[in-house]
Amino acid sequence: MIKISFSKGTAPLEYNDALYFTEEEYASMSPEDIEKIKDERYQRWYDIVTNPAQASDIPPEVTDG
Amino acid sequence: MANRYWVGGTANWDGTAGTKWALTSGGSGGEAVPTSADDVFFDGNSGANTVTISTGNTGSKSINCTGFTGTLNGTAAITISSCSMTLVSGMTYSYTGTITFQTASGTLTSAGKTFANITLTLGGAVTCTLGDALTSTGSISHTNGTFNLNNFTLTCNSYSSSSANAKTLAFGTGNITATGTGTAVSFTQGYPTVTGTPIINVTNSTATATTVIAGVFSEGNSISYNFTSGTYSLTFLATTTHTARNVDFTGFAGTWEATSTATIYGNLKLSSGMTLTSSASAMTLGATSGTQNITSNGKTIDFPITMNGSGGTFKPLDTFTLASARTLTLTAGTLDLSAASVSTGLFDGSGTGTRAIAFGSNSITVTGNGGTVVNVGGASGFTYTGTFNITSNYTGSTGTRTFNANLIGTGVYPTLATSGANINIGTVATDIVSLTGSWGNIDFTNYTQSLANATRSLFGNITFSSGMTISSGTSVTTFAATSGTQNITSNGQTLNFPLTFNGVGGTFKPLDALTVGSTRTTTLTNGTLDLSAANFSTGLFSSSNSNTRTIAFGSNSITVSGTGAAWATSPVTNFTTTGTPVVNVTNSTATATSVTPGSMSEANSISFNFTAGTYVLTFLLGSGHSAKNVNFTGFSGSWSPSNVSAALYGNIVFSPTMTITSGSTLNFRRTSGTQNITTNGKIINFSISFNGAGGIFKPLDALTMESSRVTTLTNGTLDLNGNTFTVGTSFATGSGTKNLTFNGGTLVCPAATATAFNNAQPTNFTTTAGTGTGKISMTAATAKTFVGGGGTYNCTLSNDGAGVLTITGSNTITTIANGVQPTTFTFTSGTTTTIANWNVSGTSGNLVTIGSDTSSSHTLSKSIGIVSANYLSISYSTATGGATWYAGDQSVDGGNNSGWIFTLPNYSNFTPFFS
Repeated sequence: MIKISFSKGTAPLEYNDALYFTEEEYASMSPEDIEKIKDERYQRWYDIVTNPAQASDIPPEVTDG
Repeated sequence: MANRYWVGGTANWDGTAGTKWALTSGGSGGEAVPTSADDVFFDGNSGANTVTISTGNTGSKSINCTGFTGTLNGTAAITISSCSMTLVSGMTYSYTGTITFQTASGTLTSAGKTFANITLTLGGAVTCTLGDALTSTGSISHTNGTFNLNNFTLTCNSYSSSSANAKTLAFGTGNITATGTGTAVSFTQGYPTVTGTPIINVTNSTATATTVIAGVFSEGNSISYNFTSGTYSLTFLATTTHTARNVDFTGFAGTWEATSTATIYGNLKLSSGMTLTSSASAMTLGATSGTQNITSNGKTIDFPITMNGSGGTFKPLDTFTLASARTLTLTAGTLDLSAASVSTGLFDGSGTGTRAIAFGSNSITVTGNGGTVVNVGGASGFTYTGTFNITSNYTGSTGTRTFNANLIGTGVYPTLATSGANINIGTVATDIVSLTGSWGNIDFTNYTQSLANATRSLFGNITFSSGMTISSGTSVTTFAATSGTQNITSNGQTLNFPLTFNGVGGTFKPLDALTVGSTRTTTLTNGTLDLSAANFSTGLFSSSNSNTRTIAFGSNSITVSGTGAAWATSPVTNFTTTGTPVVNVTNSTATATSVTPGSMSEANSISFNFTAGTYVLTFLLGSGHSAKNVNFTGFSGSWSPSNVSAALYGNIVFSPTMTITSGSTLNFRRTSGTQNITTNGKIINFSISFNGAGGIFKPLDALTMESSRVTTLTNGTLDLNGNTFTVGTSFATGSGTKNLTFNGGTLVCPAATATAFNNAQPTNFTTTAGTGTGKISMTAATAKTFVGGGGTYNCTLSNDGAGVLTITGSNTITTIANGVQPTTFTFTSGTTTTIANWNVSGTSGNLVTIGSDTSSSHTLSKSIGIVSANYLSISYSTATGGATWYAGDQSVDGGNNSGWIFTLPNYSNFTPFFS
């Protein structure tokens, strides 16, 4: 398994993540492919962080199993 | 009643009195003709004359020929009202008429003379007793009363007992010899009570067809028959329910037409010269005591034989052979093979009667096909001794040979193989073999033909051959041993039928990779499935009961490839696992599939790998349902835990191509070691609870919760491992011992809520910086709250959104910072926030506001050094602790502050640490 750690974004919204590929997957990907995945990951996160739940959102009750 | 002495010289005995009869021996004639009331005498005084019994006679009560030297002849019938008749050797008896004996008991002494027809129309209580052996050239008709052979032989052309009257036939040690053709013996109704040793010899030596109507006698009354000669066609035991005792054909060279379901209660001895016709009707051997011998003398019986005598023993003395289309049925009694083997088309030992096979060292060979060739099934009652040995020697290619074994109650189940087993199927035939019932070891080594699908139970090992063909089907094979280990060797074969493991105390162990068809279900009902030697693949796996059952994985795994209920082990009462439990779910379709592991404990929980498919997965659905490691690599379907108590005791890897649907809660419950979480970029659309005392929960990449979800840390350590962990609507602590470790990671709390970070249960809550700088980033652009709970935060708390960040509690925080400006920090009045670093500043025109939530002050405490800020707007803030707090020359003093110096630091006032 190949791990690629990466950081994206600028302060204060900096995003730290990692990609995992099998050797076969990694060999089949170009640097652009990998960058695209990084961008997609960051963008999904960014959308979540910048469109957060508001106070009116009622979180579900958590019961520990 | 009187005496009548013959004094008539040579004359007819008719209705004319004349001077033929006297009252005394040699007396004067002229007496009346005798009647049924008179005793008749022919004696020495009757002279050597000829008396002809003629028409007109009125019978007598008896006839006594003592001393007579003359001749009795004639053809006219005569009735003697008793059964008293005495002939003597010195006389001549050439009478050929019919004598009818009636109404009174008596003795019939023939002195070697030959009679013609005799009718015994005796009264109910009347006995006719032979005084010596009686020979008749005609028929003997016994219609009433008791006929006592008195240990003598009755020889007649034919014997008939055909009236409905009650009667007795007393053989003693005597017998009846029927010499005639046609109907030689006839018992058609009113079957007599038989005493003594009843034997009837049929001695016809001709080729003329002969019938013996044996009648219906109980076992105790049954009569033995000897057919001693002749080449005729014999009709015998050809009527339903007719019976005989011993049947002996020694000397008979004719043809036996046995065409009905009759019964023989004794021995059966065939002759080598006879012929047996074929019939579909079964002959029953029915003795209930003793040993009945069967002597075939090389003959093949072409009709079914049923042995049905509880307590009886049926013993072939030489090879006992039934034709290949015929069935030998053992219903009750013992088949004793100690002296010879049996060959039969089919063998049926099924049923519930008390029955046994005493094999000794001999065997049963079945030659048939196209049906149940061997049936030793039955709920109870079957036993055997010696070496159980049944061999099917069919060599053809048509039909299915079914072997049914079901010796429940014996505790022993027959083995099956091509040779050398209890039941042998050979290797030559190219038909299909079907096994049903209950079996011991089954070994198909060297078998290259087909095995049909059928319902069966196995109590021993089974070995399939690589060259055989195994038919698919829905009938279940059950492994049922209740002790020891049942080995399964499949030799690369796929078993495309359902399997059930159901033996309390039994262990079922594949010795090589075992594969069950992708649409078939394997059910574990009782016992242990031991995978220590090999992997196991099946379509579906089910163990949904409360019986005691175990899967011993060792280092091997189970693969389920089917759709629908692929895995079901709920409820898990009395269900345990050992080794490293791994289940691979390899369904590659779009068909909905469920995996229901039940509420396994941490020690027993099973790892699941979902390797393919685009289906909707139902998994961790039920209350408390759990798993160990879960790996979705390769899975492109959709899933989410849908119960608030779903538990995970191991790692989880999400697939980048899967869909995480809106779910409930996944509880990470590991209590030792580390649980890794790899999201592969998937947004977690369910809540997460970390609740494993002693466990470490570690994201291996960024973990992002959907914005409405909650992250709860109750027990254990959440190690951010340098990654960004975005908590959803809230990060909350629960009542337990918990730790938040950063190792350079960031806990992003994006929600604009009063519980965006909520240390609701601060007791036993700690944080660890680890390597690098950790951060709690409050990013909402509107108001949000950091509920510190008085905790110590070995990280940076950063207000990274424009909205007000309210910090409650008297907390100790390594660094307070802001990532945006303008923004606002609001502290709870009366609290003291202890910091090591103050990295809060605004910019020109973008002041950062510092204040309290009420018009009372809060306290900021730093123990040493200089705080250097600028562009702040400060009010109700007390800066203290030993450090020097410079708010900066561009900051605004909003009033009610203490300790703040609204200038830039004048570093000339400080002595350098190093000079």
